[in-house]
Amino acid sequence: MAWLVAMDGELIGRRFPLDAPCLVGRGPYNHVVLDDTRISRQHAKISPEAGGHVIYDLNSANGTWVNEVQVKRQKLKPDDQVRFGPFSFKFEGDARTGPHVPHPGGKFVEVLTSVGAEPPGDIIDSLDAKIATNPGLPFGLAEMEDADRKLRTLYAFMQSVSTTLDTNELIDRILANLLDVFPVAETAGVYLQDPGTGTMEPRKLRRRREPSPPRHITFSGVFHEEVVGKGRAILSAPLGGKPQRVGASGGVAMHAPILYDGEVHGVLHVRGGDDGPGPFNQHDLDLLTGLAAQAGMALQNARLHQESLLQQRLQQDLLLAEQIQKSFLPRQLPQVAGIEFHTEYRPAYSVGGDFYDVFWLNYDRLGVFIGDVSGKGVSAALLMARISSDLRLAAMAETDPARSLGHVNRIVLERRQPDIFVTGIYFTLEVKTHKILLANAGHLPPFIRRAKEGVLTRLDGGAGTAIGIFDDAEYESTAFTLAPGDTLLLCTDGVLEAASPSGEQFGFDRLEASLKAGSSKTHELAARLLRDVRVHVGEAAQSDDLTLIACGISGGEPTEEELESWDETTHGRRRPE
Amino acid sequence: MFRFDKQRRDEALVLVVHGNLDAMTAGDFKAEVVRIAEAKELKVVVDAAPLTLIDSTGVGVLISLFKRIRAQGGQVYFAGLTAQPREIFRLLRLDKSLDLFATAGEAIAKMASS
Repeated sequence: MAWLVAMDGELIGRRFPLDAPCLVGRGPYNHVVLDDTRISRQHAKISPEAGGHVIYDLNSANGTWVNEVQVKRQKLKPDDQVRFGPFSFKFEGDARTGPHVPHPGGKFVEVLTSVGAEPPGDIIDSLDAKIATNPGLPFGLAEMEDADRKLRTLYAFMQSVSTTLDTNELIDRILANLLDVFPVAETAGVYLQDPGTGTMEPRKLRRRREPSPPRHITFSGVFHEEVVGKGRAILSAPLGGKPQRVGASGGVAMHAPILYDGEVHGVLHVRGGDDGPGPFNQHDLDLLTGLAAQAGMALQNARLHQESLLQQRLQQDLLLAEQIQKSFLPRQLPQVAGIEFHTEYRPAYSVGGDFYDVFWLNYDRLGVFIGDVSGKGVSAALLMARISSDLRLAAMAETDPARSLGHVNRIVLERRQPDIFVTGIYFTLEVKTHKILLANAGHLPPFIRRAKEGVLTRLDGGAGTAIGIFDDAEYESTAFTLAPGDTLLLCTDGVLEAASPSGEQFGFDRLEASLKAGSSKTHELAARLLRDVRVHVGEAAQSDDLTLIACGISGGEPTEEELESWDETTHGRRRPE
Repeated sequence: MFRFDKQRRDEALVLVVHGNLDAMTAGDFKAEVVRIAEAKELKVVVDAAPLTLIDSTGVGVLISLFKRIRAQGGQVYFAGLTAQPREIFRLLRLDKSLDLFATAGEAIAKMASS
């Protein structure tokens, strides 16, 4: 047994058997693949011949070197140093060096070795010599012609399938090629593994003679075990008899595994006509096996390409949506002495359908909105962004929050997005008197924590229908005043529905307990609540957007001078005329 | 899991919805809603008695059914809402504006007389 042993680089120590012709080059079909631009696609070949191993340079750009002498054709001696570009190897000779006899139970890799061994340009040269001097070689003229045909077929096939990255197109080309390559085949089919179930599903079946209806090709039991389970190509006998491995002839059908990443991901299938003896032999099976290997590479490329395209598109969408959405959230909340805001915005995915806004309506009145669009992800986020600007416009146009929401409802309905609706709460706050007018469009009711005795009340007043459903939706506003130490809390479902690892929701009771035990300082109260939610959720994944606005009165009121001086830091606020 | 069946009762198309209608399961039903609207159905009853859970996407699909049928002059009645789906309808104040019935039978009778 002779070997080519890698002496450096990534391959160091790897041993390549030389009991059959061995191709060296950059192309993936070589036995020794050297991925480097200084290596030609098909660089060199080492053949076991009668007198020993011979190395051939295959017109490579940078040459083949034996003991640092450039060679075109050279007989190798044990321990010769062989170099292709930057890669050094040692030739390990063996006294018993002789021609390769393919063994019948061979796996596909070995079958491919005997198929892909002879480059087309090389055959004519070596053909005469071999036949003339070595009549006992296993390769006769017929086999040589056969190898030449196979190799040319493989190249043509590779060119045909490597120029498309669309899986369906690829399957069509594979089938068309199979019927071309095997003129006696009546049917060609491609099975691919269903990524969900892992079973082999027929993807497409093509018959030479249309319009006869495609017959379901059976692919089960022992066939499945051999091809999918063991990764072997099989020739099968007529009448569904036992499958036979390489070496038999008279097969009526062939199956070859499509492999990539060392796994069987599909099967190529070819079948002859129903009459007469089986037309396929071992050489046909070799060829189909080689085609299946090429098909595997092409299919994997197509799949990777599609995945990366989809991934890229999704990433870009998300990024864009995230940026748009962030730009609609207030960058800075209005600062008003005597009033504290605490906001929290935690989308479950990188973008969400939740939304809040706090903005100046005029000289001494703030508008506050919290909302939740049905659905999740990019479309919800984009709609939310639009609704935020609708709401600001409506808030400027109408002083009554109920009328503002009615306005937004009409705008949303005009857009005709039938499966979208929005829940939200909008309130106005007079910064000097702390009077609030609040309207609720189908949203979770707000809570008020009164400083006095830490009483928590749920505010069911001012409730109307969600936005974007009915033309005639009516909203109403409810009025109340916050006293010093009181906090008004608005949140989205994400708070009450925050689930623990066992699936238990945070719920109203925990909310109430957290708020009652909390401080009359808004920041502390909100921080405590968020901490309690986080502890409850623990390691569980956040499944819903979580948004919260707490608005509290810390006492005191802004002076005229203070109100004047905030103009620069707040946007949307009108100066007093 | 979620599934739905369609029944023809008198002139009404009855959609019986079972299980959990949420973002994960609403896909096929959403497509069916579009087909129903394109078929110009004018009398549709949604029998939600076997519906156990609904999320905002699920409500969105039912609302889309309602809006599409209404837009072509038809009517959609909802029947048999219980438990969580009923709570959601109440929270969204849909109970104020949609026609809700205790049972599909009542909804069909009302549909026939209108």
